Amino acid sequence: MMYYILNKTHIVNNELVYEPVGYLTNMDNTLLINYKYETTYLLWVNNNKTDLENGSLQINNYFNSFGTVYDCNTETTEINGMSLSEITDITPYI
Amino acid sequence: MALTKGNFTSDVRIPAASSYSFSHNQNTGSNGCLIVIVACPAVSTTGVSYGGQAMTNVRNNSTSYSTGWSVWRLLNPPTGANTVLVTLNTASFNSTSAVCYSFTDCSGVGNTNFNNTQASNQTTSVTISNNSMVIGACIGGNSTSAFIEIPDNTLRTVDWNHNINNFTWGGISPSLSAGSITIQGGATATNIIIAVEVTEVVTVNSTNGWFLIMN
Repeated sequence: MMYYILNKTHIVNNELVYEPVGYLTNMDNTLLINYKYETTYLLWVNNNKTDLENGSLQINNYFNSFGTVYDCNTETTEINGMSLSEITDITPYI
Repeated sequence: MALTKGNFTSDVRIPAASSYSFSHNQNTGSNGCLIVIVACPAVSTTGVSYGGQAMTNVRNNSTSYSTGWSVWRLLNPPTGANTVLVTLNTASFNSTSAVCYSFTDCSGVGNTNFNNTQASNQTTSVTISNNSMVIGACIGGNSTSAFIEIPDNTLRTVDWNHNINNFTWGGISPSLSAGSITIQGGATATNIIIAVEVTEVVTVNSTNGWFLIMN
């Protein structure tokens, strides 16, 4: 069985932090969450890649303007020990 | 005991920094081993650690897709859920792929081979010991209808398929017999390919008997 980790990316004390907040087992729901990730954050990074790479733009700008990012881009066969609960209501993440 | 594949984790993300981390659960059992493969466009991987222990770099290649491709292994890693920390040579704003395979009764990584020439349904060959498993991985221009054959003409499950500017995908064989094998991977565009042998721990059979020690 495959578990899809719901990752939260946000800024804490001016540092980019990745934080797993739960897991999903419904692949259709992961696609919905990742669709939002790809059409917002990923698109913004790709559109601003040059400025991000040369340091004229900071990644914090995105989070300061648009807030927290969620994705389901980590998949694993075992979640024991990760202290994660299953998420079935994805409304807050899409 | 036979080489056994355990837990698997795949992760793809924009690091947006020079390091990032995620969790993976290493199985319990004797002679544990963890193997991590990282594909990072435009940068290179300078280190991977698991549970705070530095992993050994097995391969680190620059590829014809301008993507760093590296293989890392750790013998007897801590068991349970621990952090995989990937460190790059500089901050990256390209999606980066990392995959983790756990094993037990494993002696580590044996032979590897890498074909960096872009071609349709690219192949590479590797000589393996008896009961080894082989991880096959590709980087290609797209991953539509992506496949991996280990050995060639024997399809294996594609365990990951990541969009990293280009695409990377791969899978693993069960234990195979000793000899030289060719693996093949492909999609609807050209690709490159790497083969990584995962070796079984060799047990020495002891024989009961009497020994005379003279001094």
